Amino acid sequence: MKYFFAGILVPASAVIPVCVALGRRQQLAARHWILFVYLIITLLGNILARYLAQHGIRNTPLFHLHTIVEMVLFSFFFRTLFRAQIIRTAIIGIAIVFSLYCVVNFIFLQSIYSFNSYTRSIEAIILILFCVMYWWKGATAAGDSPWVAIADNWAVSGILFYFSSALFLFIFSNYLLQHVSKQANVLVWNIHAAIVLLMYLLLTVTFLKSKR
Amino acid sequence: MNDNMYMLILLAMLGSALLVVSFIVLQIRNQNKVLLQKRRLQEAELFHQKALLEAMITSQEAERKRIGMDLHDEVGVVLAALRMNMEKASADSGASSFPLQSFKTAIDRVMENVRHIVHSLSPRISGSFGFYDALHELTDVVNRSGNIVVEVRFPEQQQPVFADGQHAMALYRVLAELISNTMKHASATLIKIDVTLADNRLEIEYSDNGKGMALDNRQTKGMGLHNIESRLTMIGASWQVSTVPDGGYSMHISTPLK
Repeated sequence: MKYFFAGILVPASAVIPVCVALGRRQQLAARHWILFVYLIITLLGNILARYLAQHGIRNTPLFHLHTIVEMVLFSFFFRTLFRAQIIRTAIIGIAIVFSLYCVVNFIFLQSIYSFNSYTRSIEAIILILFCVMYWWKGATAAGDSPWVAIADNWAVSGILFYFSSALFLFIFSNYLLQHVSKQANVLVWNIHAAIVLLMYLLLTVTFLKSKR
Repeated sequence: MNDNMYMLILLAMLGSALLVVSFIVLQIRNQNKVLLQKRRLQEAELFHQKALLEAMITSQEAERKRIGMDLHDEVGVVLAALRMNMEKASADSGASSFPLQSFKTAIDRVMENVRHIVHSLSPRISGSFGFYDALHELTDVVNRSGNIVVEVRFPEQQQPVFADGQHAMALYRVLAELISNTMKHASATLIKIDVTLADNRLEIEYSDNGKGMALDNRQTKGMGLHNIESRLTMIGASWQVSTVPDGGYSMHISTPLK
C-alpha cells in the first residue's frame, strides 16, 4: 500500500493528459503530439516496469532506455519551439551525443542494473537549459497573447519544474538507495511522484490550450 | 549522518522547486506587464488619432463656415446690390428692355446658386438644436429635384438635444453624404430615414431601394464612405451596414446624446 501513490496512482495519472489530447485531437498542434507520444511511452514503460518487478525481474534497464527515449522526444519538442536553424541543429546534435553517452554509460560506467544517476542528471541539466533558452526567447519576443494562453508555456513549465526539482534526487539516487533507510527512500520517491503528477497536470493544461 | 543527507536532498529539491516556481511567476508577471504597456500604448495612439481626426473635421467645418459666410456677405450682397441697380435702371428707362430682364434673371439664378452653396457649406445648425430642421430642409431640396423620393420619419416631439453642435453637424453631414451616394451610384427611387430616440441614444436607420453592393467592395471605398466613418468615429457613434447586390443599401447608426 505504501507504493500505491508512487507505483500505481501517479503512473496511471498519465491517462489524464492522454485522454485530453485524444479528446482535442482536431485542435492539437503538431508539436504537442510529441508530448503525447512521450506520455504513451512512459505509461507503457511504467506498466512493463511494474510487471517485471512483480515477477522478480530487475527493471532498471528500462530506466536507461527510457532516459534515451525521453531525451530524444523532448529534444524534438524543443526543436519545434525555436526558429533559428543553428539552435534547431544544436538541439538534435545534443540529443544524438547524449544518446551515445547513455549507451557508453551503461556499458562502461554504471551497471545497467543500477539507477542511471549520471545520465539522468545530465539529461535534467540539458533540459533545464533548453527551458531557460525558451524563456529567454519568449522574453525577447513577447507576443500579444497573455502568458496563460500560450500552450507551450505550460509544457515548458512542467518540464522545468519536474527536472529542476528532481535534479538533486537523480544526482544522489544511488547514494540514497545504499545509505538511507527504506522508509526515507519511500518518502523521497513519493515526493518525486508528486512532482511527476504536477508535470502531467501541466501537460494536460498544454493540451487544453493547444491550437493548430 | 544518513538521515542528514536525506534531509539535505529533500531541502535541495524543495529549494529548486521554489526557485522554479518563483522564476515562472516572475516570468508571468513580466509578460503581463509588457502586455499592459503595449495595450496602454495602443490606447494612447488611438486617442491621439481620434483627437487628430476631431481637429481635422472641426477645422474643416470652421473653414466651410468661413467660406460660406464670405460668399453670403461678399458675393450675396454685391449681387443683391447689382440687381437693385438694374431694377432702378430698368425703371429709369421707363420700359422693360430685353437685355436688362435677362440680366436680372441670370443674377437671380446666380443668387439662388450662391444660397445653395452657402447652405451646403454651412447648414443652419446652431448650438444643440437644429438637426431636425436641417435634415428636413436637406430632404426637401432633394425631393424638389424630382429624381428620387426621400421619406423622413422623425417625430417632432423627439428632437434630440446634443451635448455639442459637432454631433448634429456630423450626423447631418453623414446623412447628406449617404443621400449623395445613393443619388450618384444606387439608381434608387426611394430613400427612407427613420430617426428615433431611445435610452438617451439617437438611432438612425437609413435605407434605399437601389442596386446595393457587395460588402467586399467596401474595401475600395472612396472618400465619401471614409468621411462617413471618420465623422461617426469622432462622435463616438456605432454603425452597421447591410447591403447585397440588387438588395438596396442600409445603414444603422446609433449615437449617444451625452
